[in-house]
Amino acid sequence: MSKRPGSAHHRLHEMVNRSEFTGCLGTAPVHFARAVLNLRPAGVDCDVCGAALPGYVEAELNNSCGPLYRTVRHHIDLCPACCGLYLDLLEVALLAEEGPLPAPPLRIDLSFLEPPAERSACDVQ
Amino acid sequence: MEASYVVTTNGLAGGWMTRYDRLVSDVLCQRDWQLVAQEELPAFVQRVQATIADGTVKPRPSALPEDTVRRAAIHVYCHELYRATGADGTLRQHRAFAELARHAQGVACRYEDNPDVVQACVQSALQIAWEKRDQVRDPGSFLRWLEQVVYYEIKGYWKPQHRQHEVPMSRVVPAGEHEENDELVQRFWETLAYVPPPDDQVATRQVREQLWTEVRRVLADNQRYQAVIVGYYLYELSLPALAEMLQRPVRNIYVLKSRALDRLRADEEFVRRFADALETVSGGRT
Repeated sequence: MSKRPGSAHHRLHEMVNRSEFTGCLGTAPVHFARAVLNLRPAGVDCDVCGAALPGYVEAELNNSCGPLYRTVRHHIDLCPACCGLYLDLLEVALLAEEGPLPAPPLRIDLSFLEPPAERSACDVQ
Repeated sequence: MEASYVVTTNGLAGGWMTRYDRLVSDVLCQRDWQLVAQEELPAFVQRVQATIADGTVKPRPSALPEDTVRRAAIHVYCHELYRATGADGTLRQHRAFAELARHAQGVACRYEDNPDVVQACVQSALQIAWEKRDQVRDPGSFLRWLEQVVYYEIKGYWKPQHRQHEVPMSRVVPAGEHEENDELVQRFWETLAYVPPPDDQVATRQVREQLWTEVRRVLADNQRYQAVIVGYYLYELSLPALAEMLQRPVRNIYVLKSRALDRLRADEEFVRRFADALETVSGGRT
């Protein structure tokens, strides 16, 4: 893949960098160009992406992503580390959607919770 | 598919409420989720229906109507779980944490075989869920948040010990790239015809059409590559939607996407025409 000035890749790179394209074309083709050029993600960093990931996965499962999560989607597409995390979480979420995930019984200590009163107003809902 | 009721953006077509109730009830029973008492079920079902009606949960392109109801029920129950985990000193809170613990165990067992590690990580994940539940941005994604916490706990467990441990990230999945021209791909193109494309301005539509032609030219020998690239980049479909439409695991779709991109990247003519397409609609060179 040639990136020398005048090459097709170099020209496409220039097109992506020119802000008017982002303005007049919407983000889908520009993002596609970034992916073809294998560019680093722009917009949000990995920490922001990680924090938004649970909501993004849920929205993807529910087919309700919309423009809200577009920058997260683009980041994941171009960032191998976040994409690895995303795929692992997505696979588990898809399994959990089918039914309860099998697990052997464990001894979980819930003593960090305040002990329940006999029966509170909240329990009587 | 049993066409006994239809999920629309306005909820379920009328007259099927009993069936709808049963479906939601099945979701709760199957998971042994007990925060919704029998007498609260009608109100819960109404919330599930509202979630579908307002578009919070939408049908995926190839999903069955039951799947949409099931996802909506889980989404609404996440709100219940979230609320209950904050109800300090109540039986309800303990019940919620017991249910979270079960789910966290299942998730942990997907990532880790050692039961002691699972035990330790689930325990600390629950503690985090209690201490940091205010970090949850959308209570409807509470279970997704917990799954991420469990994931980080397992990853973090091995880190200080400097052990090489494979949390099963990046399992190699055969991409099945030689299964060509099958019915699924044909059905994919048919379904795509009904999916509204994003950014539907004239300029974008023009570029999309040019790119579609180019993608078909470069990837002419592989229908799946074409489907994944067009679906993901030109129609902004999600990986789960693509996986469902092509009936492949999500990781497999990811592999297909990466390989298809490699092919496009290596095709100088494609890149040149891509640049041309962008340049044309933006009004020529500067």
